Amino acid sequence: MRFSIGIDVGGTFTDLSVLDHEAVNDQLKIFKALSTLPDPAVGVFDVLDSAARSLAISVEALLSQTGFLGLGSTVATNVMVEGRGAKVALIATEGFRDSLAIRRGIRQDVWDIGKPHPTELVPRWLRFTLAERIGASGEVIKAPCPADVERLVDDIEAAGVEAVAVCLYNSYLNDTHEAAVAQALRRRLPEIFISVSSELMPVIGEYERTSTAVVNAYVGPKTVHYLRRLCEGLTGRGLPCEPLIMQSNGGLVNVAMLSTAPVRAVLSGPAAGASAALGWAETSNNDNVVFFDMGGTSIDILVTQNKKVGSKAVTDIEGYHMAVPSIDIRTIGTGGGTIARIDKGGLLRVGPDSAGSTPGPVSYRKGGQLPTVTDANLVLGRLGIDTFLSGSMVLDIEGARAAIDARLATPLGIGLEQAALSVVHIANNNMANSLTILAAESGLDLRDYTLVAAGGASGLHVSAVCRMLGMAGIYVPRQASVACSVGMMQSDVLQDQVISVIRPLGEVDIDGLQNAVEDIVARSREQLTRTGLPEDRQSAEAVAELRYVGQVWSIPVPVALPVTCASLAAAAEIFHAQHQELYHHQHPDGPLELVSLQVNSIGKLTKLEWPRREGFSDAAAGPHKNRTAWFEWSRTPVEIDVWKGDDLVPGQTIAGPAVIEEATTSILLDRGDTATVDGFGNYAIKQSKKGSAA
Amino acid sequence: MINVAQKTDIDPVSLSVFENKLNFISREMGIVMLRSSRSPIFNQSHDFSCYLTDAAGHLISQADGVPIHTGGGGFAVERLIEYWGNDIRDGDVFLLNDPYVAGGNHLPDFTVIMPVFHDGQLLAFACSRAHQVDIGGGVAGTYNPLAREIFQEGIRIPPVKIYDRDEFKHDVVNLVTLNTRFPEMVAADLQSMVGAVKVGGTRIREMADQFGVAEFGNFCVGVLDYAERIVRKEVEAIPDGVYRGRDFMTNDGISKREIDICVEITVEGSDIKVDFTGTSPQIESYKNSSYTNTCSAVYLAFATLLGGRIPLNSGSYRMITVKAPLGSLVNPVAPAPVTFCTHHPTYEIVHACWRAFEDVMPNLVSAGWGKPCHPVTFGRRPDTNELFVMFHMAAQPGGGAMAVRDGFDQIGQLQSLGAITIPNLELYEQIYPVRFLRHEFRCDSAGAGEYRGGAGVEYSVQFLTPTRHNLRGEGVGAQTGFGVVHGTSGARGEVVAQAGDGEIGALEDFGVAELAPGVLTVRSSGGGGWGDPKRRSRELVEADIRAGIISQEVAHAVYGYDG
Repeated sequence: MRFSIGIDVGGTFTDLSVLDHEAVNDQLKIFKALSTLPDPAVGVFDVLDSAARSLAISVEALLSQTGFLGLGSTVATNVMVEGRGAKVALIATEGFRDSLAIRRGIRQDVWDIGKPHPTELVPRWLRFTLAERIGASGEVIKAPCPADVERLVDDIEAAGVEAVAVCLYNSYLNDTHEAAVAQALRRRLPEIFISVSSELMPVIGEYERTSTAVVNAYVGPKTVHYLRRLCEGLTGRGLPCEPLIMQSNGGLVNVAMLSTAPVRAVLSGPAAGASAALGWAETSNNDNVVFFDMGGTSIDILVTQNKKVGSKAVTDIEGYHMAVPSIDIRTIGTGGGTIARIDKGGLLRVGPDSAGSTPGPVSYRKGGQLPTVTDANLVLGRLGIDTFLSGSMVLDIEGARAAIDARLATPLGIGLEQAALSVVHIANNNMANSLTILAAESGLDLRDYTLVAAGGASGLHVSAVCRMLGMAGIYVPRQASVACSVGMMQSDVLQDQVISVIRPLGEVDIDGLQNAVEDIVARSREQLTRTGLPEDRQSAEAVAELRYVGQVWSIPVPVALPVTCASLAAAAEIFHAQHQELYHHQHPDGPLELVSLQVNSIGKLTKLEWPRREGFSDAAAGPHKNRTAWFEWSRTPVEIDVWKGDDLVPGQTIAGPAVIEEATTSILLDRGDTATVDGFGNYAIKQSKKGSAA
Repeated sequence: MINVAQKTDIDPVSLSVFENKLNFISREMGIVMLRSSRSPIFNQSHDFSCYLTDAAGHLISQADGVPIHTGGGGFAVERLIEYWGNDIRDGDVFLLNDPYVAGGNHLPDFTVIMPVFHDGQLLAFACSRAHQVDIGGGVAGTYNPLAREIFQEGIRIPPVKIYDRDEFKHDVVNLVTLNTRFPEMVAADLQSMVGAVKVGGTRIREMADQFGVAEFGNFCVGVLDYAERIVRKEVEAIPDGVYRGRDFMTNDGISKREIDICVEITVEGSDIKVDFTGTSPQIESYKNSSYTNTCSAVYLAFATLLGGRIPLNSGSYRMITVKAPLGSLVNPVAPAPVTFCTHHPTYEIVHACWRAFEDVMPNLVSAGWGKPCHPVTFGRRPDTNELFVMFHMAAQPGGGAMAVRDGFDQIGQLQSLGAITIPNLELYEQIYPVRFLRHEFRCDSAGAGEYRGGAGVEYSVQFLTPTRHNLRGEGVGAQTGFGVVHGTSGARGEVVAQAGDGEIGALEDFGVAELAPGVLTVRSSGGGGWGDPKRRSRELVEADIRAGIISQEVAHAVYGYDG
């Protein structure tokens, strides 16, 4: 097939990357259209339309020659953010209907004492109970009476809900009661979306399991409806293959599979960044990268370690928790629109609040009054006034200067440029400090990591952040601003399932565990085969969560399959070594506990071959122009070269101080930085030991 | 130019970066502890704090930690400096816990302190304070209700060196751990604490390289002055006057009697004097509060009144003077026992401070949080006969309402502002020989108000073995979650037990109860309401009725609901 397509439906833009396997050069093309709400499918067809026009073919012709289409969907995300999900009923065990509302008492910031919990997704009068009980060893203490189950279904029918979540006590040990309830619901209420905790993720913890089932029910009807309709639309216009949807875990699934567990797509959009990060880790020849995706309000951070991206067992959105494995994405609250101000005590502060895209920075001319990081970059000559969004938007430098002067420079009694430098300096420090915390949480030594810039705003900050943290280097891809749609084409199909164990390692029932693994693998094999993936493209791997007895935090360690005494012993060895590396001590004789085993079933897709940048003139062009810029290391303004990205050829090197302007991003090279254009047209930046932090 | 650091000439940009960096360091230290510690008290309950002081012992950052440790860490470093003076050297690490001689808050909280030197100059102290799983004393689990002297509460540790110029002092650490019931776990957790302060030390030295060794002290002064200035501005907004507040305990752990905690707070300009004169004399049992804890509880009360958004160093508390009469409950004379102070009288101190401001700052005060009444349970596992100690974390009460929100329905305790989370009971069933029968909101437990208090729960657990219960709460003897601004108080708690099919008997919230295999039920207390219940919106009252949080009767009688 001629084309592969990745589409990322974001909050503002719908990005599309299309790889034309038959093109001689410029194989990878990128398109953007405005996202359309409430029906995002319109935006998807808009962006397909731009792509088809650019290729001088019809959308039907484009789709009918497409062998792969990956889609990141923010539908489920938006449902959560806007709080416009389904009317949901919950079925819980008698005596335990409030775990959802108690939510283990978790509050994001304990000092923010006036902030209430997020609204319950199921009010108490829709939390029904059933007299039944499974014991702590999975034994049946009280079986549900069939008449009770039928009465419960009557009540739920009368309540007029759109979805039902079922989470019974200890169902992670024995799912028969949940299955009986689910069967009755599905038989009698076939139109209603049913969400069952043990089907989604049979892990210990009544709160997290209930919350997962409820979020799934809450986002389910809308997400499934949208995805089915979109797929019908794509197929109807000629797409011969099944579109695949990005899940929060960074892997793809087909719509049929996702429809039973739409909760798995709640972090669909940013999760595709994982594949992009891995792809650029490979093109830059680095196993360990920090992927730094900076937009207007925040920075999404992803880490690849030894060619793997970390995942989290429990994640949350808007304060609602979900126990489905997700790509470990951390957010730093600094972006281009982050506001600088003098606080009550007279200190210059940058953030945490942001002007976002509306009203945006002062220089956007959309009514923003408060100076932002972007305004400071503009005043410092790091951002060109006419380079924003391919020149379609001219920035208001005079407005930015006036705001920084009046609100920062004058009260501080310093010069305008000094104030702008201070804003950028504090913003860069905030980013570096946050990365240090992230590194501590994940046990990373940042000196071994390359900083990969993604998103439109990163290029002006990565040099300073990298230097402050002593990181190994910087890599800026040309497609930085559409990272997630590119990532879509790099992903595989992935299904994961977690088995709760919580036993000292020496007491684990190894045969029982291996049987459970085989069950999961067999089920996945069936589904992967149905997705059209032959067995030679299927594989399975397992990850154990291990800890010393008494610890609460565990460390994920790979376990060779099948699970045997020897494979667990090998995992224990890795655990001790990792603990030493992370926390600087280990207890080789300390008893270990196996918390859980995650089984990943993978269906390998044909990987995107990164198109090399070829066929361009090898006569290196000179700088496009000069500009005056300000740096901390110079008391006077500095004349710097401004280069155009399109003029540069592989192998060319550019020494800072300089700025490279790409269509949707600008890259600042500070004194001591040297950028080399690689074979893909991306920039590998090295920093000399000297040089300066900005 | 705004004069940012009055005693120094540090520019506001560098100071902003410096202050922020300190807070990230103390957070990073906390992460190291959280991730590597062994005891659930550290890693599940996060009952610890990591902090930094300057070379003189002034707290310069405590970004991570349980709220009841607020601002109290500096006392320990000051005592350490008095003890060791010129014998504090690079590579030393100290340990202490004693509240009478070493600036500790109570014995279970061990404090590990490392002086940070750079180029031969003492720059700072990196510290970690954490509740140990056991410290010896009369009973397992660190809380001994039978203690009448601190000696029965556990091992007392003055400031001692556990590393002497990088040399590990096995003898000293062995002496300490041998005096606990779980020496290996305590030793492992001490290692985790040392790991945290070492990370702090490394980061401080990196900062000194960046900002200058000679300048480091000036920056610390700037950080403290800045905090003081910010908070003084907030305090200036409070009308001058003398404000009085009171709360009380209903038992001294031995008998029923009212024990008063009285504060008289004088606000004058930007200065605050908190005077505990009138507070009951010290008592025989472990509900006395060490001076360190008393100050922390006062700071905690003020931090919440100011919305929780104040700098995280002791400059924020410079304008607060605490006068606690020697020999009173809030500044006892040795050897009075004090272990329970982080719970009671912490609730009472915070409540008394809040109540003092009910009339003058109604929009900032919180109604009372329901006080806990659940016991600590001891028993032996039927299979191994091994001792277990179980904290009934899922029997917590409800929180108090504020002008901006209802109280939190069941929430972690006040001294943690809810930070200590509630475990999943499925997990407890895996760890303990128990079966849970119920964990649901308790109807009509929430105090009424325009904003209602948080509901308590009905919590029932069946023990499959004989058990012993240390009753140690406050929620039974009186309504504890008081209402404010015409709100009503939350329901008082109830603790009942039933052995086998026997009679159901009510238990007090102090003393010890033995129970044959049977069921313990806690009906936890509710939080107080804020504002007149008749002003609560009809829609919200109807929602609460429908949810079964309030009954029709209460809706009619208290909320004036006519539906």
